Formats: sequence, C-alpha cells, structure tokens
Amino acid sequence: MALRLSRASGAPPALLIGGAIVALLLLIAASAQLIAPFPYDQMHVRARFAPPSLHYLAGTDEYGRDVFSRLLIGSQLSLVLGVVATLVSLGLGVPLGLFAGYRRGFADEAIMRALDVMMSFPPILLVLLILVVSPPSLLKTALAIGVLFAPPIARVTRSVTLDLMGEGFIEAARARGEHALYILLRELLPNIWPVLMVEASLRVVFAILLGAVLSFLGFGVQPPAADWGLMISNGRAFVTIAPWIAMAPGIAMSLSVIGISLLGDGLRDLLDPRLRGQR
Amino acid sequence: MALYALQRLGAVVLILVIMSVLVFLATHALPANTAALILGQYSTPETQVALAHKLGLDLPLTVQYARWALAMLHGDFGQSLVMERPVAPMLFDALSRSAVLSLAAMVVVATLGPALGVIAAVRRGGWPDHLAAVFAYVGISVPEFFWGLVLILAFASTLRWLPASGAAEPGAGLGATIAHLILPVITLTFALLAHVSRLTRSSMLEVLDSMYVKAARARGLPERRVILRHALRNALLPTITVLAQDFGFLIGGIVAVETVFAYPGLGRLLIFSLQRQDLPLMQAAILVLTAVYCLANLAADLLYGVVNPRIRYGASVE
Repeated sequence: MALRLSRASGAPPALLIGGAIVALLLLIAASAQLIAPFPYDQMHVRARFAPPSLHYLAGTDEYGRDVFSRLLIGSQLSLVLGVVATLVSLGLGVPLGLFAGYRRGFADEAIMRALDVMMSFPPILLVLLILVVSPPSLLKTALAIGVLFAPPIARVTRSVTLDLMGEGFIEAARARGEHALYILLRELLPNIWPVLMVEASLRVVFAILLGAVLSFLGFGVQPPAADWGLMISNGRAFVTIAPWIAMAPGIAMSLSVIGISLLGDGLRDLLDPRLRGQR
Repeated sequence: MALYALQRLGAVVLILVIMSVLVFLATHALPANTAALILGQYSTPETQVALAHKLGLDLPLTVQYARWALAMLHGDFGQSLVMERPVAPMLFDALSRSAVLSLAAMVVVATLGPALGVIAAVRRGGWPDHLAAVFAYVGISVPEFFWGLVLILAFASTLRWLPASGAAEPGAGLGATIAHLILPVITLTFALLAHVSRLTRSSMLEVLDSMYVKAARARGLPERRVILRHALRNALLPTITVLAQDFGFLIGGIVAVETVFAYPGLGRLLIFSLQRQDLPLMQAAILVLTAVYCLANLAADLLYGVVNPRIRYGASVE
C-alpha cells in the first residue's frame, strides 16, 4: 500500500513507511497513560512470569508487572531521551558551526581543532565518565549524549555555512549593510535547516540506541522506570524461562529505530535533489 | 607522510594526556573512599585516615596526579581494590581476549561486507539488492545487546548448539574457543556488516557508472573482469577507511556485547570496575581503551593515504 501511495504522491516510500511508524509511536507515547491496561509499576504477585495472553498482552515480568503497559510508558522515555539529546546537540552545535563558518580564520580553526579533540575520544567512554560521577537519571543521560553529539552537528553546520557564504544572496545582504546576526539567523539558518533536519533524525536514532546501551549496562535510567533498555537488561536473566520480558521491549525499540531512520532517509531523498532517482 | 604520521602520533599522545586528566578528576569526584574500600566495613575513621595518609591520598591533587601518571608510564597500573591483584596482568589478559574477539569480527566484516555490497550493486534493483537493503536496516537499527540476547535464546537455550556465555578455559582446545566466539562475533559483526556493505554498494554504483568502466566494457572485456579488476579496486577505497574507522565503533560495541555474553574481555572489566568503583582498575581500563581507539583511527588514516595515491598527507590540502 505504501508503495502505491508513494507512486501516486511522488514521495519516497521510505518517507511514508517511516512517517507512519513515527506517527504511531508519537500517538502511543502521547496516550500511553490512557491506553495502558495497568499502571507500569503495579505488581501482580500471583501472576509473575505470566506468558502473553489476552489479559497480559505481552506477559508479565519477574515482579508480575504487565510488560505491555511498561512498553507503552517506555516509548515516552525513549522519545524524550532521543529528542532532548538531539535538541541539546543542535543547541550547542549549530551556533558553533554557524559562527565558525561565518567568521572563518582563527576562530574557525580554534573551534574546529577543539571539536576534533573532542571527537577523538571513544564516545561511550566519555558518556560513561560523565554518568558515573553522579547519580544517573534520564535527563542527565540525555544531556551527556547531547554534548557528545554536538561536534558532528557543528561540523555539518560549518561545512554548509562555508558553501553558502559564496552565494549571491549573502553578498547582497552584506552589501545592504545587514547586521551579522541578521545574516546568520535570517539568511544562513533557513538554508541550513534541511540538512540539519536529516542530520537530526539520524542523531535521534543514535541517541536512543546509545541511551538503551547505557541503561542496559546500568548507567542510564534507573529501576523501576519502564525504560526499554532497562527492561531488556532485567529480562536477560530470565531469557530462557520468560523470553517475552526481554524480547517485547527489544522488538519495540528496533521497530521505533527502523521507523525513525526510514523517515530520516526519506527526508534526505526528498530534500537532496542530487539523490533523486538514484534509488 | 612520515612528518604527518609523527604529527598525528603527537596528537594521540595529547589526547591520552587529556583523557588521563579527565579520568583522574572523574575518579576523584566519585563518592568512593579508597581507604574505606581497602579496609572493609569494620574499619574506623581513624584507621581510614591513617591509611589515606600512608597511600598519599591526602596530598594535593596535582601531586597525586603526577605520582599516578609517572607510575602508569612505568607500566605500574596499581592494585585492584576489589580483586586485590595488580591491575596490569588482569588488563593484559582482558585486552588479549577482547583483541581476539574484535579481530575475528573485523575479519568477517572485511570479507563479507564488500562481497555483499558488490552483489547488491551488480544486481541493483533485483532481489539480492532489496534483501541487502532490508538486512542493512535491521542490522543498523537493532541494538547489539538485543541481538546478542536473541542469538542466545535461539542457538544456546533452544537449539543448544553453542555456549551461551563466557570464554573457553585456556587449555580447552581450539573447538571450544571458537564455539565461545561464534555468537559474540556474529553480534558484533551485524551492525558493521550493514554499514560496510551499504557503503561498498554506493561507491560501487558510482564507479560502475564511470567512464573507464564504460571504456572497459566497450573494449569487450568480460563483465566479470570489468567488475573485479576495474570497478572493485576503486570502489574499495572508501570501504577501507570505513573498515578501519569501524574498529573504533567496535570498542563501543564490545562493552555491550561482552556484558551480554559474560565474555571476560576489556569491556566487561571496565563495566565491572565502574560498578564496583574500583578506581585503579577503572582508570587503567579507560586509558587503555582510549589508546587502542586513537591508534586504530590513526592507522585508518595512514592506511587510506597508502592505498589511495590521490591523497597525500602533509602537503597543502587547501
């Protein structure tokens, strides 16, 4: 169906399938509290390790908590983590990249070399170092990942800025005597936006995956939160007797990530005319 | 080239120094009290202060850092607080096990990745191409630790073909060693394979469209020869860099995968030290991982310069 729709509308199929998955994910996250059959931390002591059934759609875990309800609530945590981390990296990276590309010269050189140094550290070690020094939390994980992802955003912003600086409309704005801030915000930023959208969708995916690894290792979101990575980590011990505890959040996470990356790829195909017709 | 390599080596040293300062500061910001950890739960505040004094823990931070860094440079990585054994041999064992794991994964990726990419490019639009695309999406989107669990569930608990966790005992023979490696290697390989095969596919497509491939075809060379001799050699250039860069990615993957499979490598040692707040072990593990990561990236860049004569480092690039 998506294929026929895409032929009719001219939009890439990846965009439609990805968009549909992401829309569903957003809908679930927005209404999780309403549609969850049970509170995410309610323990049904007599129904521990209950297999999936009509009553417990995805079974129950070692405390008798309903896995399906926890899945729904967990979608909120994953999205918050992905979006907050990406916003932080955009908030740090875009101004840096714009400034470096606009000023060039020494400021550019200094900023880019500092970012090079930052990017030469193994990413997971930096995040672990940040997280281990104080008690972990969802927001702190998101912040740490956001800081980590700022350098690549700054690089992309800078390279597009450098390209645009030679364009006629920038020269025109300069000749009109516009203020630097005006050129940065009103002339450059709107033209960088499409590239940033694609980059941001990629970063959301990486942030969700990295956040999941961190909670899986025990340094991210803490119990009893219904975080997907944490649920997989808890379910690991019971994977032979109650595989649904780990499999359900794993499948939910994989589907979400596939949806967001498809959306990102679709956006790139749509926004980058050079790639059109290549796939 | 030599000058460039030296410069880059200098950068690696600089990064290691920065990382050592970061690690040192971070471990000192930790709530863990080294003296209390060593003496155990029945120690008194007085004995803790006495031991802290004996270990030099009451000296200024700069002096402590200098002592620590100097000892590290002499190969003295200190004593693990939890295991009460010197860190260096433990670290060496773990590092060699991780090296076996990651090298095995690299070999698989380096052979299968380009092969899949070439098949997808040559059969572009056909079912092998679509299958490879789906495979790539799944490979990149599914978190490694979850793959690991799925594989354990399928091949260890259900089919009972392979061991679920751990590494083979030192004298257990080649068969047992390989059996313990199969599942972790597949897990580590998955995301990288997707990455490498996609990249090979796109650079192969670009090359297949180039004039010299068209010229080779026009000369009437057999298609097989055109693809393997003319196209592939050039299409592999970007793949080689990415392969080497992915080695860094492997280090991130290794931490999660070694935890899932309880494989006693460097990643698991790092997580253990972080969980137990074993400061000397933590510091040494992080520094060794950083060094391996930086050197792998350096090797990647140098290798690219060697295989691609169009790139000459050290000369003006502007």
